[in-house]
Amino acid sequence: MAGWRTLIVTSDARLVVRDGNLHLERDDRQLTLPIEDIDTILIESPQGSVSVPVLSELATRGIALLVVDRKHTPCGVLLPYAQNPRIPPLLQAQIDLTEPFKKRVWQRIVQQKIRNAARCLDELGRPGSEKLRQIAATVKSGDSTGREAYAAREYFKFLGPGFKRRSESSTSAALDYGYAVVRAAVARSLASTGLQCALGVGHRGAANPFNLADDFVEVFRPFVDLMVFSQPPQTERELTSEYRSYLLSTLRLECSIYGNAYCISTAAQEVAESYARAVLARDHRKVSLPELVGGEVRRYE
Amino acid sequence: MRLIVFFDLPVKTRRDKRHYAEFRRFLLRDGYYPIQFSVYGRACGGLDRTEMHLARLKAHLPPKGSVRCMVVTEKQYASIEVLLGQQKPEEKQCAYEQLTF
Repeated sequence: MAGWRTLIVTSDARLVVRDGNLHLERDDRQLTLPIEDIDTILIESPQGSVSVPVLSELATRGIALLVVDRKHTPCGVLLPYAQNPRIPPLLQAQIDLTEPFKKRVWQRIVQQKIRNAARCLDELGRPGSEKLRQIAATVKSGDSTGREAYAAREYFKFLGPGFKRRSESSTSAALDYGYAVVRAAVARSLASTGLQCALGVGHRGAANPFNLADDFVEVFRPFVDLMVFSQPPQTERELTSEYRSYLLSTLRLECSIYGNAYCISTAAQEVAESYARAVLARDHRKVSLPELVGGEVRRYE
Repeated sequence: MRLIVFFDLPVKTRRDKRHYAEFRRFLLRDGYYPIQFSVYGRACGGLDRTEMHLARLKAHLPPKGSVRCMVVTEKQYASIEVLLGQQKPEEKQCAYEQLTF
């Protein structure tokens, strides 16, 4: 059972394991948190420190620990290694995957991404979703006709008229931040399922150890877009810490897989497991992908 | 959702003391925090998790004494009136799942 709490460390806290729980302490206060409840830890402070038993415990339980660079963008993640007995057969199966399998999976990822983008436009009350759905219907195996790039161009035109994705604006920075958080969650899920992240289906970068994570993060991007464009950052340059924490709650957005409700971080786990099943069975139809539904943040009462 | 465990355990003999210590240690290791002496609480994410922790609790009961458990929602738990003393950081309402430290 995966954890359900996200922890952001913004102060110069020391993280240690005590009585099997994660214990945080700094001069004026302390907090004890059950490790099994944790899903993701984001360390935002340059002063914080983490003990080695914490790292080992987090890796054993498949909990993601993210660290950030000087601009506060997540730049590293602790991934579980070799926890899974399935690794050798799974790795062999991943290597042996046929081109048609990869192309079919990539086709489905692109289609779902475009459909999610269309739903995102609907949720934001912007036009253009019909056009995107038409594009989604024409995606060929392996996206040989480049529908993804075309759809992305149209999508951003509708999403934010005049908005330039590659600009230095805070909106762009917010998107980068959100994508990085979700990518880390996807990479963690894939690694803890025993999959080799370097072997992608659509992304084949020879120097990229996260090709597979980059493949699956595509379907999750519209969730981040929905968060950012429904409540754009107010400041010009730097993202405030409140806004970064808002972006982190993307992981708790609700989505649907075959009619069942998940939050993004458990959906990432489900996607990774379904992909492992598909790889072993050599059947691309076994891959399940999340569908954007309402943009509701899931809460536990 | 919160699980609240109340207990009175005998500590007369060495064996009783050992059972008491083992039970308390189980509570701490399973992520419960002390609210007061002999009253422990734990935040659970949803019904499945509440049931899981309840089952674990039942599996670790000491042989003698009195143990009670109550499940309340976050909202109900947050309505506790602290008449005297301080609330612990673990008691903060956690319906948001996101915790900043």
